[in-house]
Amino acid sequence: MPSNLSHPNFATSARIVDLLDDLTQSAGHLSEWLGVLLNEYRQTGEWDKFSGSVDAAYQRIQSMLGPAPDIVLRPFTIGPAAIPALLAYVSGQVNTVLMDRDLYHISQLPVQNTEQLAAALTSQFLTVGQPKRETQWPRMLPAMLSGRALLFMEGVPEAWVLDTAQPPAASISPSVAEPSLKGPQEAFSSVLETQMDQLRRRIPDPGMQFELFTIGTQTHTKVLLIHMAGVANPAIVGAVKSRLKGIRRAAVHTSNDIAEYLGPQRWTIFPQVRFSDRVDLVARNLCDGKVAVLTANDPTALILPNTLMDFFQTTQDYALPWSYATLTRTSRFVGLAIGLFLMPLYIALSSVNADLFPVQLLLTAAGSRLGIPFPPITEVIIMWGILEILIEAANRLPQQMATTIGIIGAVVVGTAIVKAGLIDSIMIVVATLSALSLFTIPALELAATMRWLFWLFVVSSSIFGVFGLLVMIIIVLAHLATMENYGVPYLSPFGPLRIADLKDSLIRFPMPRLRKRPIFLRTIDPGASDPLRVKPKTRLLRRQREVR
Amino acid sequence: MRIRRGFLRIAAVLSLLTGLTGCWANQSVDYRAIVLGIGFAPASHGRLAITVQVPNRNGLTGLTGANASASSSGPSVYTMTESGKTVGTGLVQIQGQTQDELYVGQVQLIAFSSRLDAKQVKLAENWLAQIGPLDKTAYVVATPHVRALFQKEPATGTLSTLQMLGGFSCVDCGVVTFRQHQWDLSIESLSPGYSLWMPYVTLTPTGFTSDRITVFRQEQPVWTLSPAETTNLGYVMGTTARGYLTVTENGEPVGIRFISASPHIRARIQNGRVHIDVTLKAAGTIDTLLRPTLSPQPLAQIEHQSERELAKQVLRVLTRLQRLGSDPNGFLAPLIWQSEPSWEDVSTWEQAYRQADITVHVVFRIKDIGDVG
Repeated sequence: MPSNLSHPNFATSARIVDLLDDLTQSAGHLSEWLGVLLNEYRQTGEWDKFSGSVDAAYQRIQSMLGPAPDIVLRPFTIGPAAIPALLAYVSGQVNTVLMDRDLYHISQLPVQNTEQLAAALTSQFLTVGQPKRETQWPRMLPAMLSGRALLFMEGVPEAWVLDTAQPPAASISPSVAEPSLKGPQEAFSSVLETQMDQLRRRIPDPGMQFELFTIGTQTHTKVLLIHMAGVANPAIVGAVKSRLKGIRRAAVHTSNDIAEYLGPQRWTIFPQVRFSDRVDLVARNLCDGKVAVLTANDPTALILPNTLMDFFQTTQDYALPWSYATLTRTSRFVGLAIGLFLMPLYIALSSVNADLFPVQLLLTAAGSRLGIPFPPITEVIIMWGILEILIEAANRLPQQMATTIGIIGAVVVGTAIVKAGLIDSIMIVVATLSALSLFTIPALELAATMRWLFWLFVVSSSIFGVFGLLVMIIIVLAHLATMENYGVPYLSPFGPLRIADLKDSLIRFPMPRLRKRPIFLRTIDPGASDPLRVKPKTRLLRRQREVR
Repeated sequence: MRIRRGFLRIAAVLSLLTGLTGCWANQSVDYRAIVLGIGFAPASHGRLAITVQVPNRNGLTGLTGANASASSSGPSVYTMTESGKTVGTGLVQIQGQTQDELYVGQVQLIAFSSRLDAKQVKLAENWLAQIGPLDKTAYVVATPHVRALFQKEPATGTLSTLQMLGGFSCVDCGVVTFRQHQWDLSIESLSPGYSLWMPYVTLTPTGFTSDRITVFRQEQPVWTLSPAETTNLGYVMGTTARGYLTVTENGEPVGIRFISASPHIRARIQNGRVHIDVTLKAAGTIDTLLRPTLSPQPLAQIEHQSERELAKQVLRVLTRLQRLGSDPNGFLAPLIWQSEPSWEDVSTWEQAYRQADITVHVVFRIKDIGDVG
């Protein structure tokens, strides 16, 4: 017998039998499916319309969704006339307590026929929010799969779509990606309804408007466009809206899937949409007249339009006194300058324009480079490669191990690489300082841009020296000057110069002096605050009497 | 149309990068022999001996504190000398001695031998003025021994040239702040009526001394002044910061130090003859005084004596310069040209200068009394 089983003919026969089984099953499914379709088509004259038959609905859902264990199809009868009905929903996505209560109420309705039932449901059925009536299957099923319950009643050619969705409980945690020393720490939840609630609590103003879009033919992802009516420029809101409407994708999994459609310039390396999971940052930007976009299942909000300057600002700047904010902002720009230009300058001076080096520094550099086998550009590539690996390793590891990796990278590799004579000591200093400086940029999306620029500058300066560096800076500046983000010049408030907006740019003026919303946003209501009219002069007496 | 515009933009950028840059021939510091000093001395058969000073491994690693101890003993510089009919031929021969490319973009010191003749100085100066990458801020000195100057090992960890430059760049370190840059020399050599001058550097057991200057008659070294004469000339040139003078008052010596002067020079032509009036407003501190107190009358006498003594000494220097036909720094020439523009011709000017009537008038003020200045 074993010899027969291992015979090739036997194996081929087994495969043929399996194949025939599959074909038979598929033919059965197809026949069932076609039967349901034809049955409904005969009654309605349309392929996608619900016929009013509960049995047909049952079969159609079953045939379309297959044997899914989370799909609940619950036939029951309503009233003394025992009108057949069907409730369909996805378990785990609906509020079961609410469902049981409503189901009980519906089944007890004292109705004798479908007309009475429809009337009773319309007038008495108030327990669940936003009930809708739907006749088309292509709209019914996605609604059910996103947490709503479908109620079918025999003889009623429409289904009731009941808002029984229960969003998964998600705790509100502090922002990890954008930490702040002081002020609010709250990050967005992943659940869209909770996100809306978080914003509502910060801006309980009727002017805040939400507009829902469903994007993704597969994922049916809910995307919310939020703006402050009466503040945000309608042209900007309209432009974002039309872009959202124009997105045709099968799947939207993250907010970045949307963001890359919203940036007016597709091929620029400069970020146009700001990502943030901080509720306070989004709320502040909305109040300033910007537009936010929230994506279901992603705690990251998109804010737009933005200028280059916006990516250097954090909510911490507003949570701390103006003097501190100004200092930190300035240090960010100094960091940027060091991060972007220190390494290219070092390479330009040591590789090309040695005559521009101060002699003492040149001799020190030449001394430190004695015996180094690589030119400076190769050293940078090695150093930066190590740095990127360390960053990526630290990102992938738990916090405790990431610290260890940092120490290993900084101390062990850094020291060892100098001892091995692969990199000169000045290069270590310059590379470390450059890397640290680039990390002062608060927005992650801009940090990546700066790393690109860093490489552009390094390569141009290694070939053409200071001249190449200057040419590259001019090219980048020219590119920035041509950029517009929904009509907002990207270099605002510096180009074109907006004096009033400078108060909240490199520096931050005290709050009472920030009376205007950003001019470059061309908001409907430019005023953000009125001047402080009350200027009490407090006189303290030597013996203060109680005021009666 | 859009593609064409983009192409034009890229082409413009590329042509900028390739056409305007002079960077293609540049090399990394790794492959350069950094020339810190270059010197010119007379050689046999009328040739010019070129000496270059390049820091070696010891010199380079000894600059950083961490490596200073690690550097082995031995010279900190290479000194290479070759002779040629021109500077270029000499340098080509030196280039043959080293693997790395000689790089003159960071030359810090240019040394002229005080024994060079006018033709050789002119030859060297022309080359220095024409060579593009040369650092024109380099200091220029005259010295009797160029090679020895460059071979001198420093007392401290730094390179000898840098040590010497430290003295030049310090304004108040010497009695006279005599500094001459290559660009000054280029201008002076091109300006008719100007005579070259250079700080004169001599070697000492511990390092260098540069308290004198060498003056040229046009490009010919003619006189190396003594330190005192240098100080006196410095009053006229406004570069003496801490001069010293001894006078006698009632038969007792009185030393005056920290003398500085602001000069005012006026040239005029009277009856076809040039009259040069030099007025110095000088001030100093009485250094050595036997009597502890001074009444206003002897103080005035000391001032008067100082005026006379200083005027005499300065006039002596100016007269000798006049006799040699040398006008360092060209401080008289523009004044004469203003008076008589036709005298721009060198020979006419020299003749007028040699026959000029020079008077020196000093106004001296004692501003302090004491041993500590």
